[in-house]
Amino acid sequence: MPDETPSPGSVPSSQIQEGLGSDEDTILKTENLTKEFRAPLSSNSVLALNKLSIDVRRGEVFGLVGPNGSGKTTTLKLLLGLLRPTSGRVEVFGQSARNIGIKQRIGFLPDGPYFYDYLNADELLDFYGKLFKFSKEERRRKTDELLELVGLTERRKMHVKNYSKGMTQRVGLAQALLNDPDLLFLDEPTTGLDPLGAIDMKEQIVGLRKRGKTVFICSHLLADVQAICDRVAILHRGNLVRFGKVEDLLSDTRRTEVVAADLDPEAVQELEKLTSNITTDNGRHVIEANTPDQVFHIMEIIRNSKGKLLAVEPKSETLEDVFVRAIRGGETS
Amino acid sequence: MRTTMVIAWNTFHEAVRRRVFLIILIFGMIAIGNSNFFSFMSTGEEEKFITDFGLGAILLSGMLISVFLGAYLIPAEMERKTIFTILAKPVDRLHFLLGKFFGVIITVFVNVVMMGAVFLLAFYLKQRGVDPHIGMSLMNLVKALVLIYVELVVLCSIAIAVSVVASVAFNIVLTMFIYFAGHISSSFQHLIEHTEQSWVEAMLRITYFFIPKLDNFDVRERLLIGEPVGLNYMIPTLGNAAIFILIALLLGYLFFYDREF
Repeated sequence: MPDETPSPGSVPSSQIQEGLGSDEDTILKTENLTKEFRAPLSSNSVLALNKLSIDVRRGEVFGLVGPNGSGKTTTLKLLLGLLRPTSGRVEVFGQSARNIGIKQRIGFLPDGPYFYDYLNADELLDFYGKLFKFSKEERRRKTDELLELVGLTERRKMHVKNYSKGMTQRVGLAQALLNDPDLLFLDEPTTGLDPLGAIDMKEQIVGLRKRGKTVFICSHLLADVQAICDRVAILHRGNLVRFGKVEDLLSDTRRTEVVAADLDPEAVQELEKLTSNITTDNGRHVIEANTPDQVFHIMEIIRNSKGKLLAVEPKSETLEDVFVRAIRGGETS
Repeated sequence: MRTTMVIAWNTFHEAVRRRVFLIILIFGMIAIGNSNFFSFMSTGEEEKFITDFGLGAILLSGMLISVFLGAYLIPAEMERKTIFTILAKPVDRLHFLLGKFFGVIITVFVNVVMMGAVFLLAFYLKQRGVDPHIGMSLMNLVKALVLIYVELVVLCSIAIAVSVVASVAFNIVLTMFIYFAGHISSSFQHLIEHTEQSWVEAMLRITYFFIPKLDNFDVRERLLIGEPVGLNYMIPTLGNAAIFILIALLLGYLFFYDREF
């Protein structure tokens, strides 16, 4: 049975509730979503996802991030109805994730997509278009538009098996957009792409948001997630450890670096009592402060010791910093 | 139904691009086409030899295609994760399963039709002017081909249903066992009556109850002794097959409905 007690590092339920939007804004919601994998004929089990409660709002780009094995893909499969929850609830457009009707409004690009390699891009999109019961003319028009959008018009007759990874990813995006979905699931959309390909993919995602689409991204590339996501949820070992707007998560942890030189040993000792984040190199000290009061206190110590104040730099944290702290916090608590 | 046929057509395209299908088909057609040459070895029984050899070759090649494709296609979709993009579209799992089933039986149909055409042509060329009732003989052979095809559809339904829950290797072994046991099912009654061990008798009874009676579909012996294959034989045999196929697919769907990926 899944652990009923709150897990270390998990986000308090009050914080999760703050993340919930109004009902008409929320198009995807999970409540205490739990998935436990049991080996057949064995009592052994693995808790892959523990009481995940998140919501995704209409028109936003939502990022689900976490290290390998954190439960991202399990979550995505539960949202797509490919797995059944052990407990908890998942709703997409107010319906069960297994409901066929909601699939008309969903697009999905899997991680490292593999398609029927004997088909070319034209045939592949035509095949998927038939699954949506589009007419021949509709399939032709959508195929033309999407291949143009992803830049594969000139390679449309090439078999997918001969595509590079970037081209496969692009044809994957084209099939995910075939039904002009309201909600798009992208699993590691920029992984394996060259820098230009990654930029192109991010521009496509930002373009989708401008068109009012909702995008749900699973990724471990934090710089990409920070650049394009409105809100993120950080998973670690199946637990939700952070959840909120990207700017809120970053501002919560804003730091300032104070750089000084010529400090006497007593002053250094005093600073070390104040903060553990001090690095010294060739008589140059970099002291990290987490609050404005701490900055003021550090500057006072430097002035009293007749040291040289070289710089006071506000350091805006990256999502990577938040991520690392959240993961380490989860491990140590 | 439209979705089912889209998946079936795609499955057929995938299947015929596999080299193993073409090798089995071409090898079978060449073997049947040359059965006139082999018949020099059997003295004066060319008709029986061509009938026995031709129908046997069609059944064997169809069995290999049915078992291997039926066992392989759905696990391959899962392994390559192509099933994810399909089930993320408005595709019911029942339609997916039926699409795969129909795709395999269309492939088997093409195999039986092509090999059957070569077989009937070889038979006609050998027997014209010899057999005064050649039209009747050919009609009986067509009925035998229909029964062979239905037997192969039964095997496909088993292989597809098992493929949802079992590995490819286990599925192939199990379906092959069912094929061979099904072809000696009429001997089971005899074995049950003559066995002395009670547990062996119980095992035989269980096996006899569950396996499809595939020897009913093999009418070679009837044809060789000149017994016609009438509708009174065809209809109950096809009816039993239909019931068996429905049960196999229903069980397959029940497994597939709850299958996690």
